[in-house]
Amino acid sequence: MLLIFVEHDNSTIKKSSLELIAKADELKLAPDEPVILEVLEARADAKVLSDTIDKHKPRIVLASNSLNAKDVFPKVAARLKIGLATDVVDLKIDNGKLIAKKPLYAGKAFCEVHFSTEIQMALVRPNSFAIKEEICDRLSELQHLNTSTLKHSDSPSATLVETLTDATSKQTDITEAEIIVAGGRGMGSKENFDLLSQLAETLGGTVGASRAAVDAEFATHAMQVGQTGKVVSPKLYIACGISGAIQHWAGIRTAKTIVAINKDKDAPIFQKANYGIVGDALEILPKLADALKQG
Amino acid sequence: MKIAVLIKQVPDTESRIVINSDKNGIESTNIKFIVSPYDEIATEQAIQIGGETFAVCVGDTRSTEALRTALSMGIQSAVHIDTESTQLDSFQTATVLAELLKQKNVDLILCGKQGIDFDNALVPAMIAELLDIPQVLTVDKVDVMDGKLRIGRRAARGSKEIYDCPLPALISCDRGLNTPRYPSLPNIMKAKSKPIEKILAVQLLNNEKPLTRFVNYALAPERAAGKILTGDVETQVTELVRLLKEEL
Repeated sequence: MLLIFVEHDNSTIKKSSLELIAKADELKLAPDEPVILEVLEARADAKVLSDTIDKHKPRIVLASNSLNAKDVFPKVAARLKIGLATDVVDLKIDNGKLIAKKPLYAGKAFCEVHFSTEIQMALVRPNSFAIKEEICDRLSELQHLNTSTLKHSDSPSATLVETLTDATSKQTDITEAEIIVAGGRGMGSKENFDLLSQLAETLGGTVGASRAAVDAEFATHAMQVGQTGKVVSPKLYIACGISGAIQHWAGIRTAKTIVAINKDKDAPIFQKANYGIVGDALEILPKLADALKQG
Repeated sequence: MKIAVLIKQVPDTESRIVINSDKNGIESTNIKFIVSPYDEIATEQAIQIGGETFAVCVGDTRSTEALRTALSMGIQSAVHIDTESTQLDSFQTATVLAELLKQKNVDLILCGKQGIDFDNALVPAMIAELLDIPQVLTVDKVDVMDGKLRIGRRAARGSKEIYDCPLPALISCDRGLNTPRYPSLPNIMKAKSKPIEKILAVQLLNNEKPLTRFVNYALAPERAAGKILTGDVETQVTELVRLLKEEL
């Protein structure tokens, strides 16, 4: 049996969770092997999750490589002594066991994670797998969805005192975005980042930023892409005024199509981008947005 | 306060990676080794909080270099948990660290949120579980107030969470918490004579076996070189739009 912990946004199941549900079919040992879905909330209790896993006795446990999952699944792994692979980009079955593929050394290499335990757990990067259209994304309509009502543990813990929401941040989490328009120091100012927002809106994408842009306060850390920001895996990544330092490259290696726009023809990013325009992003972005709106 | 800082020695990001012949690791020749950047942030935070501080590193003999770096920044003493020639998995690493930390009776454990070599983000939370102490991970603000911690971290969609955390506790550190200091020359000299206690990992392991193994290492495929679009701005934009429509 496969156990998938699903995350939601106001009762809509997140795309990263739908990817796991779709992938589960390829990981079954028999066509009728059950797939059970449980909800993973923020600040989930490790004892509750462990008891849930004990109850179901799954072969495989999957969840997204999210903040919520990373808070709790390592604790479950230590508590139950179960193998856990994180930041996974691919899964397969070999000899009845799960094998997870994960990147190493800022994506310069990959390895396979082999498990010595009966239960195999993996936290998967968003945008690793395709979703199946017919699986619905409404929490309330999934028949076999359980929400754990088991007792919480008495262990000492930190208490959440306050959550400060960023009212201006209505965009998708960049780790889940399929289209990202990113700006670097070459954008010149916070105001110029509006050009990125406009293009992103036309494309239905999200705005990202390099570390240099965040350090210069053109963008917030939540938008930072790269080794010390977020690793993203979009279908399309448009890098504007970004030189393409190795630490930034670490965050975008697995993007399907990379477009670079930079005034400097020797910028390293041009060596890795699928398409490049040597020019001023401030001039090109509005034209690009217009041309896309018309087409 | 008695503070333990957990550090990992990793290859510098600029290093060229060569896979070993067994495909279960990398060649360590021609690699510059550093303290993992998030662990440096944890080290800086321990010094800023102050008290009795020591750094711990799990690894082979080369680990002492990483510990000297922490000592040069201002950590008072260090412990090297020597893995000799074995490779421990995350669970075993957490086990030996937890065992040592139990013996040391610390108030606060600081570490980086993940090592930049494997990006596992497993050991910190595993240690908190094994020691049954509170944890807050990926923290970018810590204040000590009345023997408790007031902690901030970034959460979903640019939001910020504030926690109150009793001691003893484990905190994993993210970028933004502080800017690690460069060791001063006097501190580098002083560090040479600071004590590094050595313990064999096998003595702390309680016979735990690895839960996972990393095998079949392979280099990432090189991306094929792309093309620079030519012509004037209008032509380039038109061509890019055409290409994007094909791709998307």
